[in-house]
Amino acid sequence: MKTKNKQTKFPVARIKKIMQKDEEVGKVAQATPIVICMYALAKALELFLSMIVEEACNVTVHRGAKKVEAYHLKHAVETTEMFDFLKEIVESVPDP
Amino acid sequence: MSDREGHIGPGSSDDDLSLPKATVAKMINELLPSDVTCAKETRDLVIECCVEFIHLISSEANEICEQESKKTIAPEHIIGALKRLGFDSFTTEVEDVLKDHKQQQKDREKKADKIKDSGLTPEELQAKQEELFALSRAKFAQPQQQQQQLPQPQT
Repeated sequence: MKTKNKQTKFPVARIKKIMQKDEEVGKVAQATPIVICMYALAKALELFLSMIVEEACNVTVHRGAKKVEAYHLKHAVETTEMFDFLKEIVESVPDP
Repeated sequence: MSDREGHIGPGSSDDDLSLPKATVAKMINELLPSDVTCAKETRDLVIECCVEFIHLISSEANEICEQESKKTIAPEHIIGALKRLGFDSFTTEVEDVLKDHKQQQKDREKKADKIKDSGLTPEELQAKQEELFALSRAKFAQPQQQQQQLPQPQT
């Protein structure tokens, strides 16, 4: 399905800042060497994005649509165990 | 094209800390088949999900870190967190990234070692350097001779 060249990467410094927003984690991550640890998290995030987009897109195609709508994403979250932690986020999306 | 949404001034407030919209939009585009597009609303939702993912993994990694009585989150804690949270399938590629970075670091150290391994002591290296300086000083001091010293093209 994916034939496009994937070059874009997540900004590593931004990920670290987001991590540090959590007060508990913030204290520990101060000393985190940005190079190795953040790249690991950035890679995991890339894979996560890839997975969630794929799942949402499957719903889109399955319903014969050409645009990935918010409720496609919601359905993907509700039907994928891995995405349980996202249920609250998609809760407010109205069903068609 | 700026991807700053109404933030005037250098620093954006912490509450709006999120991933750059343009970057995420590009990535989503690269992942979708060519005949499918993504609604703006969906893209924003995806960004929220990504931020939530970061929080999820880092707080789990933080727990693992504390359980091991360590003070700093290590890459191994991130990997442990992924496994615990059901993202086992990610760990292979993440470990690859870590291996690559460690290898890069090794290569950098190797380059520094090259100087050490040249077989010459610092004094010998310094003596060589002085020699080279003396040579070039000599060249500058004798402009006429410099002309003759120009290498002749080989025919």
